[in-house]
Amino acid sequence: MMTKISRSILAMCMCCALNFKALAVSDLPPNFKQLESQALKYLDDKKIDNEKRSALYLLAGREFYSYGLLDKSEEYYLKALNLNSSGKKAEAYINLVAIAVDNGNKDKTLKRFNSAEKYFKEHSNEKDSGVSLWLKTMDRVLRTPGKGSYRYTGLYGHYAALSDLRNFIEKRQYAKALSILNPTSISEASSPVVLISYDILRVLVHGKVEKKTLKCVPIQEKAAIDDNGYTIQICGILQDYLQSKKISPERLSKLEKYLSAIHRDKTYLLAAIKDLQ
Amino acid sequence: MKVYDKIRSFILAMALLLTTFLFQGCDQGALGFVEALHNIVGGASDLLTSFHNFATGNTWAQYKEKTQEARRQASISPSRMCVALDHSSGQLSSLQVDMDHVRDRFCTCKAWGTCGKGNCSCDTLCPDNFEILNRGGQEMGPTDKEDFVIRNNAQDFAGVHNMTGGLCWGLAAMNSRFNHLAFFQPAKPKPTFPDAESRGRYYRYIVDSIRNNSPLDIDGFSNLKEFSSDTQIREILADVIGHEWGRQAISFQGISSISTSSPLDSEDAISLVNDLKYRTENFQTPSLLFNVKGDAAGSAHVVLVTEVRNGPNGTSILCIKDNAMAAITNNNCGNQMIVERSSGKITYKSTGNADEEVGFAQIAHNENSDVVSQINALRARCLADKSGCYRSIFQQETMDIPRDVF
Repeated sequence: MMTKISRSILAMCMCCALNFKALAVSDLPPNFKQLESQALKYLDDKKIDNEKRSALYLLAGREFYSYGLLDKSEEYYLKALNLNSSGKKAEAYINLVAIAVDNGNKDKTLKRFNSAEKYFKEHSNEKDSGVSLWLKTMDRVLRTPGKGSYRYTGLYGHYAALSDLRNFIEKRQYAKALSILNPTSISEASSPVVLISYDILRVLVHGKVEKKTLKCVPIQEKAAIDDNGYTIQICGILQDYLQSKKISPERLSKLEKYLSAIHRDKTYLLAAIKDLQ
Repeated sequence: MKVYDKIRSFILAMALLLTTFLFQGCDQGALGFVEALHNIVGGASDLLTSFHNFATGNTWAQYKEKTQEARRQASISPSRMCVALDHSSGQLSSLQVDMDHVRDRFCTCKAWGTCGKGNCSCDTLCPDNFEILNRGGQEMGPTDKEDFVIRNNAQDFAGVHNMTGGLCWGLAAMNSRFNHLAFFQPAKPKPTFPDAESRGRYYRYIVDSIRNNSPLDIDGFSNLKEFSSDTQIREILADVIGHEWGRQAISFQGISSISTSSPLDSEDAISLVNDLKYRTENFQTPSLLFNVKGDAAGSAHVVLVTEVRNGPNGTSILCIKDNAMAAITNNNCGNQMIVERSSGKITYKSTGNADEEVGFAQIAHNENSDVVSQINALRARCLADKSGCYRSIFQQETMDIPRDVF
């Protein structure tokens, strides 16, 4: 039953020892790339219809996705989409958006979401309640953050709310940003960006705030001397500001450097801090 | 028929290829994948349903078979699993030495899996089955010390509907990964760094490694609670947990599991309970995705199941580690799901909240691939840890072995 090529691939597989720990798609050893190209060439040489070919690509995409090998997953999902086949492709459209989100690539995310939306308009039979919620949430997060009522539903609630918070801060709509936060719930257990955003926004909106009421102060007091993340740094800046109405350029520069190195997606907080002055 | 055979051949080749990408050894995983592919290419037209039982699940099932086989062998022969070293090696027993003493002083083996260093031979310390997940209890996250300080606090936002909405999936997945893969070394000093950036890069590497299911040492910290209490680390964890949430919840696999809130029937509920029981008895803390009856997406939540107990009147009790609750409430099975086996009805009883009837419930789609990855990664580490074992015993000329031992 086995052809020569599958036997040779089996033999090569038996000889290999791949350390999963070190596995990254870009690091795939040359022999794996060779094996993959051999297998694909075999597929291309044979008259296998596009429906079956598409099914294989989708399954490969799913397997790679489940192991976090997103570059390879993306490659196979795109192959599936590029085939002219009539099979269901909801999985490929949705997971390609998820991969772009994971990569933090906003342009690609929006472009792929546009394609997914178009696909589901034409294939409404594949749009169940879960897909509908996903489409609605992604539309709001990607296209119209902060619009509509401030009600965030279950599974996607935090994601949509964080997106709104960031959007309001980026647009300098600080009062709106503050209004979506729930002061009675914010604590040490909160997401750090939510906690420190709350402190920044209170100082921006209310001006006069008691230093001891900053949510970051108890955290700062407990922190070790070398524990100097953005919460602690911003907390220090806010306390200085509340005392002297000034922001130390050195502190700001240090924070900017830190955010750029470790939390690039939080650099939007800098503009808000600068607006204190 | 000829074309069909060729398709099958390609499937085998592709399956082996993909499987080999994922595993260190080449003797595992292929069969289930072939079967899954065969089912799809062999004529199933609806991919959404065909993929329901996809390949990784079959690979997990193979580990289940391996575990059962290893235990069966162990019961009929002491040579396969836990066994005193002098019984497993005739050569060594002829030396008539206190092998435990030798091992303690010279062997670099560490206790792994169920076997302790005292009663396992070096070659059985790294089992290629679920036993490798045994971390002496840490893997089950029995207390709040094995949990994050960060909670799934969706109520931070004034307009959030339902307390379960948040980062639950990311928290559950990362909690389980830390409990299986982090080797906290409190006796070792915390590393020091010249500035916040280099410290941040170091801890981001650690957190990313755990996210990618790679085990490593974490020096200077006793447990996950202490680790996640460090503000800088907490910020990094929050970022990574957010990404992990997205990878699971925004995916097709995540969406397909929030499309219904219909409760399970009795047969499905019993099957779920049995599966959860098997997993928790085999050093796993499966992520359970569920929603409240009548509210499919609004109440979707992911928790960890740490134990399955027999309850009164034909019920089963699932001990729940809920990241939306204060961590301490999860201790001693403080949050529970009660499964009525006769009807399939599941009731969630969480501390301080009204009872809720569970709608749809299933093991999260990332569970099997996580377990498979962890087995491979832990095994690789185990093999590396004990690499000096035999050498240190036999290469006496290169080792400073006190003569009085022999």
